[in-house]
Amino acid sequence: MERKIILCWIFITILFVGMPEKAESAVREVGEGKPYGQLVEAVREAEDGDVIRVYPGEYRGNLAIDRSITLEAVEKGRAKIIGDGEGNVITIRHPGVTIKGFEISSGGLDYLKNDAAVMVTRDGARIEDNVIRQSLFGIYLKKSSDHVIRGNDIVGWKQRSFSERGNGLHIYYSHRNRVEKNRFRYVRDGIYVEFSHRNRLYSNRVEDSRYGVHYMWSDDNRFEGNRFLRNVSGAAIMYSKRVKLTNNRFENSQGMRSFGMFFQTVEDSEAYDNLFLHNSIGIFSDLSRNIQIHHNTFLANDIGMEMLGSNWDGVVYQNNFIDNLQQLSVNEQTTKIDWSKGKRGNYWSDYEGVDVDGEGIGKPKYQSGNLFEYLMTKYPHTRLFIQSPTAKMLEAIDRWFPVVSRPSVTDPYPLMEPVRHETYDRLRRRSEAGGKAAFAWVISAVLLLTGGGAFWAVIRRNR
Amino acid sequence: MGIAHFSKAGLVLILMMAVIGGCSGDSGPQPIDEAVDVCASCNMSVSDGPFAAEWVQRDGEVLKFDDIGCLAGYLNNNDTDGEAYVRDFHSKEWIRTDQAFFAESEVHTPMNSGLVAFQGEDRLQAFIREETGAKETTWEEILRHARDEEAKH
Repeated sequence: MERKIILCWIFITILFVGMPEKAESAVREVGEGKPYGQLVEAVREAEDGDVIRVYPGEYRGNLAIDRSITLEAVEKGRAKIIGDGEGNVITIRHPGVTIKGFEISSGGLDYLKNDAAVMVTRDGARIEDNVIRQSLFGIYLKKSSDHVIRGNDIVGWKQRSFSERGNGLHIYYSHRNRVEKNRFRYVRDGIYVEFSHRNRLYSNRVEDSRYGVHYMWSDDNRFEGNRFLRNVSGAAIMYSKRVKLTNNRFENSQGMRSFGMFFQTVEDSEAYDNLFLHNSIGIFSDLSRNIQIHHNTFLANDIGMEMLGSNWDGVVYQNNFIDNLQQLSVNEQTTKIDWSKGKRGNYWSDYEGVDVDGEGIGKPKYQSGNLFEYLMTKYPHTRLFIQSPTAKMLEAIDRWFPVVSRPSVTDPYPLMEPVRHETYDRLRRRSEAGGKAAFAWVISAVLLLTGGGAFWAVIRRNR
Repeated sequence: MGIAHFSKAGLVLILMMAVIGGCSGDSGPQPIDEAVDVCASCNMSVSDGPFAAEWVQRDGEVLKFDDIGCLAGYLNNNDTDGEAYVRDFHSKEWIRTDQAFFAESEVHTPMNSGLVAFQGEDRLQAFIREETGAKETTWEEILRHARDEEAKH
């Protein structure tokens, strides 16, 4: 009985203590004919917990936010926050701030000050569904953690060189953020992560920038389901540990030293279920330890993978190397990387062995490269003669009289069939569906033409 | 006739000298091409900004670096003959390292060395006055620091 009374009291106390706080938070409306004409005013007067609803229109002036408030556009993208052209457009200086649905533009362009459209310096911000234009950095997370960055569309500067652009999302000493479904174009690096751990990057898209994702000294990061198109490199993973990347697509990174992805001094990391399509080099790796690369597809790249002799303790198994001009490039003969695991190697489209015992493994072993590829690695200019009769002749001579010793890779258990994994299956389904659709079109066109022709002939004869 | 012959021979001589002169290196720093140039030390692409550095070898080969720290690290590990160049922080003008003035700062350079270079002492001093946390350093000090860093690993 007594217990019940105490519980009752506790309940009532909570109610009364909780209530006033609730009552204080208010909704403030900004727009033409609303209580506030200017967003700056509303922000200045807002208290913790307030929601500022902003109606379509242009709102000028930089904003500094010192309360945990929510700024929300009533119609997505139609409330425009236009900065002073100096400093950050929005600076968040209090935990728990939400910015949702705005178009934000005209931030400063001072590289020394890291000017950004949205600068976040306290924990737990939500930056959602915004469009960011005409700014040096898009969103800058500085020495604060646990943010959610979702659904933003950030466009940098098409005409500027990389050194004059800022990064789309810059994550600096900032941990455990969730970065999801954002789109970045014409920035320097799409998502730049420095000294920041345990971040999750899901389903983002980076196009026409320098690096899609760029990790520097950042551990335990994960990125999944992202798409990288036409960047200098899709991902640059450098000086980091325990990075896990799955289900990403790296496409059309083309140039002298362009990579779908590259590892530089990386440890204990894993890449699986990724697709590398039409890149100059699918994956490049230097000075990295214990990199696990499995269930990926390297399709139609100039070079599928370049694995330098400086790497060690790595394993590459159950990947598909399909129709790359050069499947693999190695610069020295080493045994520091395993090309199979559990008696399963990789699938190589240029493999010519047979499956003797019906276990899906071919015999003999797969030997990478040929004399001409070796020459290309050593003297890049010889690439000019790729697929030429001279090259073919060299390859043939080398097959019959293998006298030139050269570094190559041996896969002891080459697979007879491509490995199934999600990103590859999806691509295959699409191309099959595309094939079927094309076939259907051709058939119907032919039917229509013959039908029309016959109809015309009949009419002519009857006339 | 004789003069014509002489002038022809002279022309050939001049052409040959020009060709040989063109080949004999001493080429100096090369412009940065962001689409092509990759740091010889860390494989990152080199931005055409104030942090880029170059190592012009006696044989004419030019190595490029994205950060002054990367150049120092490379020179530490490789024994080649040549000249090192850095860029003025404001004008991006190329300067030989023995003629440059350096500062260690909190400026965000590509590889986080914070190293920036200046053409004149006055520019360096002005920078140190304005930037919090910036202090003067020398090329010898930078190379020594790179050696110490290497020894730590």
